[in-house]
Amino acid sequence: MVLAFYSYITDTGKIYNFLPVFISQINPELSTLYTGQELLEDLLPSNLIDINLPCGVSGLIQRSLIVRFNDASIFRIGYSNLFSQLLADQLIADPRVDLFTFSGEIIQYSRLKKLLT
Amino acid sequence: MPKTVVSVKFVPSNGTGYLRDINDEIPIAGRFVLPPDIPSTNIAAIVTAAGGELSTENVPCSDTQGGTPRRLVFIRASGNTVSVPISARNDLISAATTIRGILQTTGNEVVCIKLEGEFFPYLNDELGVSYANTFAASHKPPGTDPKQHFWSGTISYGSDGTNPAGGTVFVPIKAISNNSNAPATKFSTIWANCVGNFVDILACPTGGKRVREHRRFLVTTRTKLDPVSATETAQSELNEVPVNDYAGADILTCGQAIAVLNGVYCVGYRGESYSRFHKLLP
Repeated sequence: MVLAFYSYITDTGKIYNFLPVFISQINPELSTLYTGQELLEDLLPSNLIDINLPCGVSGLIQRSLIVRFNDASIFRIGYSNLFSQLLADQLIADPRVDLFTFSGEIIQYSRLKKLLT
Repeated sequence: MPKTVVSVKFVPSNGTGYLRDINDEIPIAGRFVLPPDIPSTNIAAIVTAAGGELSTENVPCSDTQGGTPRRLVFIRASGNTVSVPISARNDLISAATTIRGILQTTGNEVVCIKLEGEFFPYLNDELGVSYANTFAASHKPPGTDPKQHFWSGTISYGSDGTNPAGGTVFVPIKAISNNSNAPATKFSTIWANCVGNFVDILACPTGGKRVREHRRFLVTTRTKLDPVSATETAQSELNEVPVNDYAGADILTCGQAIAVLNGVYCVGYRGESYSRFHKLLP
């Protein structure tokens, strides 16, 4: 089974369903506390689904949160909804999170021209 | 002598676009390895026969990462192979004949040519998939029926691998189904248009080997045994839908019809492959 976003909304408003969630740890400090998924499960409880056949989209690099947790581990975690003040407030209030960055989505032209037409 | 890696590009605005089976022209890049015994002076002629142009830079806005183009694979007596991406389906024999002639100039005979179909795993945007939280009927048998059903027979099929292209051959198919004597319920409305009725004719025996793999859409759906059940847990299922028509417009129409079926959330496509393509050449 693969963890996927039930729906991922692009910056252009187009929605893709069952897009696999991207999560990776990007610093060498191995976390014994976090996988990144638990944060996502709190932020997007109704938009995550375990699915045996996800639907990858070429030319779309999902927007992501770069999060430094309180054990010094740093994760890049895909995020399906548009960034917002509410999301920032949630992360600021989360005791697990030390720092975070919003990293924007990339839609390559090969995908963009298809989703716009 | 080192091998030469030849980069090829197909660019619509240059008149060398890659025409997909679903009838749209896209920019795409490809490459092939030229065996060391073939003079590099022949590269341009091979690329021209393939319908592309030589590339020394990245193709702008390429679809390369979204799939792989169809190819003609030339297997030579020495054992090495040359796998050339080809821009269109309608003149495969001419391209194969020209490239074979070039590859044989050194006396190393081309003994076999295979057609490998294009593969594009994600065509949702092109076909108009818009998942709306609907579910299709599962292809699993309903109720207590323990037996998985299949809908199998022979179809009349317009092939890429005939001379001329688009000729009719008879192809056996076997599709998983929840019905004992009909295609899967979730494809019942598109089956006649995409696949057609079975013909009362036996496909040619091939000794158990599949020399021709028909073109097909790869369809992923959210399903339930009872599609309207509010309590049943949904599953995901991947099915293949054969496409009998050769014409690009008809393949596109089939894909668009699949895209709007209940439960469909992902549609890909694999083109026809034919391992005996060399038999078609004059």
